[in-house]
Amino acid sequence: MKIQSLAIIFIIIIMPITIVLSEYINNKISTEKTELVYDTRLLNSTYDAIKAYQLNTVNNAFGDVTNKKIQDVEAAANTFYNSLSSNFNYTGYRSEVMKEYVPAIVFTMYDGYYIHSPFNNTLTEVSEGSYDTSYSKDGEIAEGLKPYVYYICRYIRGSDDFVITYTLDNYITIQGIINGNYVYDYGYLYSIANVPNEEGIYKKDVHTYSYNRVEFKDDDTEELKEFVGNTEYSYVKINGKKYYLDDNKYSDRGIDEITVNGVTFKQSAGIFFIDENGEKNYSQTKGYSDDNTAEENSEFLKYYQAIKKNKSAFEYYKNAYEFSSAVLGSAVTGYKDKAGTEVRGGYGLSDLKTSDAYIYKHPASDTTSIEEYGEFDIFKETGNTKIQNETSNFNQHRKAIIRYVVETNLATSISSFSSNANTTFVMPKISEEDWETIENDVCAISFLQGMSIGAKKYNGYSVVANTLTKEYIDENDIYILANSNGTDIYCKVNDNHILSGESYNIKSKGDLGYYPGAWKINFEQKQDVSSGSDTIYYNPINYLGSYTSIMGSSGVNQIGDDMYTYISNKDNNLKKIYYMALGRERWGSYNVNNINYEIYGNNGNEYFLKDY
Amino acid sequence: MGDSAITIIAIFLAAILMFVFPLMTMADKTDEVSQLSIQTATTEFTNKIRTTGRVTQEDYDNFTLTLAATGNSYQTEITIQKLDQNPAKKTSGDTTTIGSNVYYTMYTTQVLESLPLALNEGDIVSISVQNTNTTLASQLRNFMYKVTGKSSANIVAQDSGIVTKGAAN
Repeated sequence: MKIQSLAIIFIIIIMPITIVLSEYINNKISTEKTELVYDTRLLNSTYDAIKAYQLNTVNNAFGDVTNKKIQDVEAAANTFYNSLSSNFNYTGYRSEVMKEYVPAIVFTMYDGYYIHSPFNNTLTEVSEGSYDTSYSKDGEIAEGLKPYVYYICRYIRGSDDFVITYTLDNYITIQGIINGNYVYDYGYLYSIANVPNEEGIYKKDVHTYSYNRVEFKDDDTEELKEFVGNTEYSYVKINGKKYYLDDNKYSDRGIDEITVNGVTFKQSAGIFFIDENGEKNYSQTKGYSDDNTAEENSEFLKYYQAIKKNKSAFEYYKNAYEFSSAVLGSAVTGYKDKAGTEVRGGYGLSDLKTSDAYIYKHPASDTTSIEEYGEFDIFKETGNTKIQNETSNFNQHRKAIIRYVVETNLATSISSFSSNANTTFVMPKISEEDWETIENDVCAISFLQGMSIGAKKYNGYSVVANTLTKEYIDENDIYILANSNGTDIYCKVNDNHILSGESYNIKSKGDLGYYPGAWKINFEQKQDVSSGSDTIYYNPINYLGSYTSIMGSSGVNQIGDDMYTYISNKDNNLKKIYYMALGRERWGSYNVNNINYEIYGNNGNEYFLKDY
Repeated sequence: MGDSAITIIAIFLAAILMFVFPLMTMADKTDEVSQLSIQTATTEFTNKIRTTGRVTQEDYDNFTLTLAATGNSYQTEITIQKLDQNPAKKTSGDTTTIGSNVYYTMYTTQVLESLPLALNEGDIVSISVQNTNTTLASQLRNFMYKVTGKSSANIVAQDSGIVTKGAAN
């Protein structure tokens, strides 16, 4: 055979191999690229959902009440589907197409999460014709919210059998049998100090509690003020709802000051809240008048006192102390749990071990087992690390539980979604960083699966945190009011200008009537529709935000592990302002556990207006 | 004599067919794979900044390492457009205007000087990467197709997006 023939045969063999290989690589590359593009589209759509949720909650006076929350979550889910279909160019009547590829959207909240996912609509219990079939049909695939799942863990220890519900911070709820008694109790958990200098809450006497050497007294009250439209009102926040004092509402009753039961107020004073239409509503508390019933008048006095002499921060630390004592050590004398049962001794949970958790020994398959985190005392302080600190045993366990609860329910939800028979849906692996976000923030997790992208099917997820939420008061979300060259501005707590000896002077309570710390959400622009024709955009807090620390996120100190550690070695003035603001905002925030207990509590429930 | 000329041409053609052509194809593939891996790195880096609201030295170093692992040298441009909410709206008493915000831009050097850089929700981050060395593929291409002109940057990746979470602190 001639050498030329050999060469030709060589080429004939090599060429097809090269062509096929290169085609294969091209295909792989285009698959990878499409995957990246889809990842970004999914992230953008999830962000749109969060944005919609933020807009709805911030401008909604009841954005934190459960049924409003469900509405907002559903609206956010719709925004997600719309955004996703327009990102994938399926607009108009084809927008429904994308829903087939979304096995679930998860909205994590303060103490649990919602899954928005398709389900088989079952209407067998209702006779056909008794409902409008244009909205729902039996056997049809529909999307909707599944029941709320709590971050809950069951513990069995000897004869004790109870559950603890965890949240994104140190608030816990305990329900079940402990020491033979049924217990229902909840509160913020802090380390207890036995001497004033120790880190933790210390009880000096019934009127004075201290936390990290900062004292909270029940007569050290505040009068909070903020704008509604163009007028500044004093207000109090109860269960997340703000009650404003309008001194000149009922001018026909006279404008003189009167004193009833030791409370001095203007006769014309009325109290309003912003209702769901965005209007001022004076109907709940009717002011003080001889035409009112005695009960209505005393109710007014209570609200009036709460506005003028707010002691939320004191109540917060007092309750945290009493709850933590009952959980960790011995309960204070006469302490009752929230079901009204007197607690003698305490719950004795200081030596509760992770191995007492039911799921420690009976883990669900395919999840990160609690056992992997090791066996330790959940509520034990290790060295200088207190319960509330980020790196404490409690926080490690809390995060492990949140992760476990999300993983188990979500994996089930995703794999049971099989409307598209050609695809098996499996939960993608969520990265450690994203878990960190899920365990510490309110966020949305979206999944997108089953779309053909060349060599394989797409299977991706996206996690976006919601940092503008009314769900809970994050310890990082407190701003401090300071004076810089004659201008009052709000700064982040870790702004390096407000430390002692630096250029800004922190405002004092004497000038303002309240400790100059504010919650981040109060800083958001709002709209007022009550004046009629024009919508007025206003800022409830009429001070500027620091250009460096708030607007630009610069000029700040690194906080290290967590805010509690950062603040604990700062000067007492800054500490006091920060603790007061944190306590006050948390005590006034919406909380499912004590809804409707503003005025009249039952059993052992702490209710807001008890002491006013 | 005629035969020798044809033989020389044949050998020349065979050489191109058997060596240069496969070499070019393989070199091109190498570049495409590098291209893919830097595109992946760029998208991941961008998405990380977008979801954490933070540009850290560690992430930047990891990103640079991933780039270097492809065996080429790159020029990275990071542009961050910071949302500068108009401070006038609070003091002027103008209560009906919304949205008069402006963006100011930080370029690569400024960004790298201020690491770790905390961002706010609404800031825009864009990253573009292109190679600065001449890869084997572009050398061969420049040699083969003299007419089309020389270009060295043939591995390019870019990504951008809006920051979804303000850095907590």
